[in-house]
Amino acid sequence: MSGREIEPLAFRVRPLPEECFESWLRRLAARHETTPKALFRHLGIDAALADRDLAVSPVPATSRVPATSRASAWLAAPAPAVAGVPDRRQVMVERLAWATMVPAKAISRTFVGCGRGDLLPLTLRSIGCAQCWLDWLVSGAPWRIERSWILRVTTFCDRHALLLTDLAGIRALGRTQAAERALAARVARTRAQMARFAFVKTRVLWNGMIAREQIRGARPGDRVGWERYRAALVGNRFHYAPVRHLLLAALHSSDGLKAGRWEQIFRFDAQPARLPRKAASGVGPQLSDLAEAIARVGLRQLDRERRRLTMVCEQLEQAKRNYPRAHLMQGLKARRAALARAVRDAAATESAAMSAQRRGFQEALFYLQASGMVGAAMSAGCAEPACSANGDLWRARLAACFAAPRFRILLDLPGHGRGW
Amino acid sequence: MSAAATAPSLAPSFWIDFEEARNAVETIVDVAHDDPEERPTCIVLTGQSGMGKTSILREAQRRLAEAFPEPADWGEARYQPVLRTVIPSSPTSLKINLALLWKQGWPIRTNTHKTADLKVVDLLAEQGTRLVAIDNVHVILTASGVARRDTLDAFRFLMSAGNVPLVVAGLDVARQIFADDVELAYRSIILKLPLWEPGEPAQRLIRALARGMGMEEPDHLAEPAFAERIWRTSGGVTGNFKRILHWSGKVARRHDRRFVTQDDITEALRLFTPYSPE
Repeated sequence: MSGREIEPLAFRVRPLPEECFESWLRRLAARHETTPKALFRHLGIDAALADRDLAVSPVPATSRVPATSRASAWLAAPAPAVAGVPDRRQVMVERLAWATMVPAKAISRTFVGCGRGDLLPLTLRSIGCAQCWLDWLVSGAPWRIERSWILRVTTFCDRHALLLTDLAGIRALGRTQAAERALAARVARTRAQMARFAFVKTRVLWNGMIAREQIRGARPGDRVGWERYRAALVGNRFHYAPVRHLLLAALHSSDGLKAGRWEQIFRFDAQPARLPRKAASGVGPQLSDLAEAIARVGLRQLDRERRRLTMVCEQLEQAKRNYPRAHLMQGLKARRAALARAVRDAAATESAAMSAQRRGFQEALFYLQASGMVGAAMSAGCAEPACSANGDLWRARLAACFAAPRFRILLDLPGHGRGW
Repeated sequence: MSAAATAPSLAPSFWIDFEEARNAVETIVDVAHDDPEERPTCIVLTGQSGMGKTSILREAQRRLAEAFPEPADWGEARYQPVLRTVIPSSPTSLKINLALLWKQGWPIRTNTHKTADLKVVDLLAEQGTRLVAIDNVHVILTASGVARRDTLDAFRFLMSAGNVPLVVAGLDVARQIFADDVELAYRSIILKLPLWEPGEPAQRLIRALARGMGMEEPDHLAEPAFAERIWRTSGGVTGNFKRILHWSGKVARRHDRRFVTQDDITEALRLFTPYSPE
């Protein structure tokens, strides 16, 4: 289809207020179910541009770049267009404006005025305000990344004063209820983390001011420490750390010790004036420093884990050593319990037999007394020593009793007659 | 003064409001005004090459764009009340859908073919399209039987699922396209653009064309002597009328003449011989 006349795009996705170019381009491509690269190809724009960092204004900003940043000129905006030959990025802006029926000015407003060195790496341009995203999700507004959020210096959201965090994981969830829950949790967690810091108001204000100037592309003022502060934020590599927001918070808090500790780990290029330590002049942070710092953290974690495992191992060894005795003791205890149970059972059986026999005698005696066949003398006789000693005498007396017909009737013995 | 600089324009940017063409345009516009709930109609606009079918489609598109301006609260979808495209060569259902998608401003990717028909229908609704116009539809006849069937299926799906009327324009043979499809044939309105008759109709056309092309003394060219010759050479085809007038005007300018003469027409006809259906 490339030979055909290009049509304006099916959807006129407009850049939202303060949205950065890449965020808008991503939304535009997503609305057309394609990638920025494929979209560029469709519109006849140089597709290689889609792989570039397009957040910076295509208008040369050399006059706006501060002197300290000129050394890294390659990081700055692209070279100005050769006379008569329009800059590729300018062409891109005009083509996108035509295709989306959006004024080119509206697209130009999505760019930032500072150099690329002041921006977060491309992979980190998902850092933003969780509260803003939550609000947009609830209200149905599209998620976006604002211009100030892609700056290395920006620490807080202007609207909610919330620390900016990486929202890439939440974006992957899509606009779902799970994402809403995750955003709410993120907001709560970040607020809780923020409560641990005592922020210095002037530093926070300073931070916002620098961010605004960078977006405008204006040269930072000549205030003392301004450039050093900016360099401290921009020149460091802590932006890659998952706890970037905490590091930035520490830098803007009154807890100098904590801030100093962070700096020690990540070796700030320039430090806030109040801190005693200062990095050797001319020695910039290297990638190896970051690797070393991360390795140290990893080693500490490994060491903790090793200690825990050693302790568990010792406990297991001890258990192994004690096993035979513990086993023997357990056997003895079981046998003792079985014996005790047998004794208890035998005693209970014997006791039951005895009590039955005794009850039989008592019943017989009761019936004898009730029938008048034995009197108190009989009972008293039982108490006689001769009676208890002479069983024959006792049996003879009982036989006489049993022989009486009334007794036989009473006990329903044979021979008593059925008459009464 | 150079001849080229003052030569009458051949650009088809003016609309000649003749009854024949007006009827066709009004029918198309009326159909597009139909309630979307009604069963969509298919209009088959036929005529010889150069009779102005494309101009009619373009004019209908213009009028519909005026009749249905973009609502103030329209969303971010591009507003397109009429979707007009030319049928691609060796047409199939997929090719037609891709051509429509392209016109709708949808980027074509390698996997677009999987859902092209559904996406076209989605976009018709989202872009507020009330009429789909497909030009050069006689190309379908060059396709094999299977491909032709496939193309007709695409038309039917477009009308039914998209719920929009369809205008297909092509040569006279395009009427045969629906011969194999009774359902589409019953839903169709045939609009035929006849060749121009000699006499008053041809004179009327010459006058209007000469005026539209900014030629000197249009009435002079509509005189019977000129008109009869031009009509005969053109074969009654609008495009040929236009071409003869254009080239004759060029020759007259080349000879620094204000008015076109018979000699100019003769010389112009030597430069090109218009194809005549007869």
